[in-house]
Amino acid sequence: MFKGQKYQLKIFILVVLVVLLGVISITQGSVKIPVDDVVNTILKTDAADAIKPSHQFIITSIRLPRILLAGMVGGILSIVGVVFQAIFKNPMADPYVMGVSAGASFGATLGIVFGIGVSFLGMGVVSMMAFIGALGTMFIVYFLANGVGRISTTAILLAGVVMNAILSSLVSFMMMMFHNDIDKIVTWTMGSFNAASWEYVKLLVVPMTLGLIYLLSISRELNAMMIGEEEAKNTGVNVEAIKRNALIIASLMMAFSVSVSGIIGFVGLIVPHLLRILFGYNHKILLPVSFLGGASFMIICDTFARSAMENMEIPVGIITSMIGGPFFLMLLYQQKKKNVI
Amino acid sequence: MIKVDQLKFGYGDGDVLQSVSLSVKKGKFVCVIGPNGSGKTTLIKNICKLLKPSSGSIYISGRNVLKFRQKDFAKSVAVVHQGSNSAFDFNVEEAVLMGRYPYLKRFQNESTMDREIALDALRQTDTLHLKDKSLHTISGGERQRVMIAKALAQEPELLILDEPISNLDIKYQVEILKLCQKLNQTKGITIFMTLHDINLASRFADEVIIMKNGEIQHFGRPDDVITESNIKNVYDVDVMVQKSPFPLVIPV
Repeated sequence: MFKGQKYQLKIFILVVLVVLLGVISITQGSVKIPVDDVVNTILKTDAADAIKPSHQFIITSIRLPRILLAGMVGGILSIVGVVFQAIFKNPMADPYVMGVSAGASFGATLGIVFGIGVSFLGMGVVSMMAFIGALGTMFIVYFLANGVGRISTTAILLAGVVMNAILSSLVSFMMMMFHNDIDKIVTWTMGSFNAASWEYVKLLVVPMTLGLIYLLSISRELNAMMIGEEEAKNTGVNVEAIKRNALIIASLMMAFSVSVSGIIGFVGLIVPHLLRILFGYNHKILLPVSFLGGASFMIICDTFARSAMENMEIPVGIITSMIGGPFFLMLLYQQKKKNVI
Repeated sequence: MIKVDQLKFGYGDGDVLQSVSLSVKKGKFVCVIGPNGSGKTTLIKNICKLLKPSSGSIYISGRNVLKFRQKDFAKSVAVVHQGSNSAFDFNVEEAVLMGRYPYLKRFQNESTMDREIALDALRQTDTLHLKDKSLHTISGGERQRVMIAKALAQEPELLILDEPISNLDIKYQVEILKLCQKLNQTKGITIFMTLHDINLASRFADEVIIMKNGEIQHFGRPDDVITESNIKNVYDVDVMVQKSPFPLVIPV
């Protein structure tokens, strides 16, 4: 549908879409705020003085950082999904494939159970433990799979699955032992942006930017690798180095993002799939649009999460899975019909 | 062009290649034949840097292949591997343009010249009309020609092909081999390929290498090496060989 048009234009349109969605999202919530007020407050125009301070506070201190964070995490999940799907040559690979989710849950659970008001670099103890858990698991999976000098993608998938099983059972065990914290643990694992703050935004922005620059720079290599690894090597791609760097950098981005949001499923699967249908398989366009598309999708889901029910917030992971699951099955069915899988 | 010196290679248990030595002159069309498991593909993978020899060395244009940077290697040697099927979809032009990769720097866009070279590769392989089609929707023979176009876009001196005509019918088989012959004769590209079909090797190749059990048994002009006794020795089948205009093997 959008294939063939100039690619700068497509990206520009998506950037505009993300900004529009962000502004609309700020107006929504338990307190409705007019669009004018939102724009004036963010742009700090003269008209901003006339706006109620409580509204200004909601806009700049609560909703804006939250929406930024949702957009960033959504973008990271999608672009990492695209990269992992290319590296594993498997359209079903998701951003948590290196065991990052189980590691983060386990870390967060430890933090919830044993944490005592410690914080570090603006991260609460739970986020910090989630980060350490994600990173630790990622390195274990990586080193298990890297045994023979080159990385086996099958070994990564297997090691990831097994680490997931081990850590999930540990989390369940801790839930049994510490009944009082079950609520918190469950809520964390379902993912949410209700703890969003400017600190989290600042924390995520640097690793995200650096990671994006790298991932966007390897679009041509990813294209070549999808034709086949041997073909890619013989067109001059240093396949092992690209695989290693991309896995580590993408997983680091995931570790940061999971520590501020919890686990949010399906985004890294459905957004890349949908965008491949719309924009084709060329990573030069697919990588940037997946970041922007993921950001849009997450902003929409999070807006629902915090405003769909009165007095109560639905964890955003539930929304993404409820929308994403059935949608994904539909795509799967269509691809099966086309005999692609 | 290619010089292999006492190459040995094993996957762990026993040597797949035992002391292979050969040399191929620039501008030749060489076919490697031999029974399944004789080490043809393993030899090719060693030559194109996908496998690292246990011992011995391989030189392309006088330079040890292990000393080449990946991109520099791809500028002189292009390889068409046995059909890999990607779950991801590209259109033909995009795929062929990937052949320009070794000439591009990171973040550098393909120039008009790169596009011209890709289009020219499509023309030479007679696939220009497929340019906007997806790799999934074209036939096996067309796909193989597109992969050769991608290899041509690398502007190589040496083109290596691993079983380029397996799974194709006779029309496409001849088409692919004639294409290789044309590239060999008009552009002076050295061709080195593995083949299963002895008669097609005999029909198209300047020189034939016959392998068995990881060793080169015979190497020479088809007239000299495709003989009743050599075929019996390597394949263990009784055949008649008709001599003209080129050796034709008929099972008895």
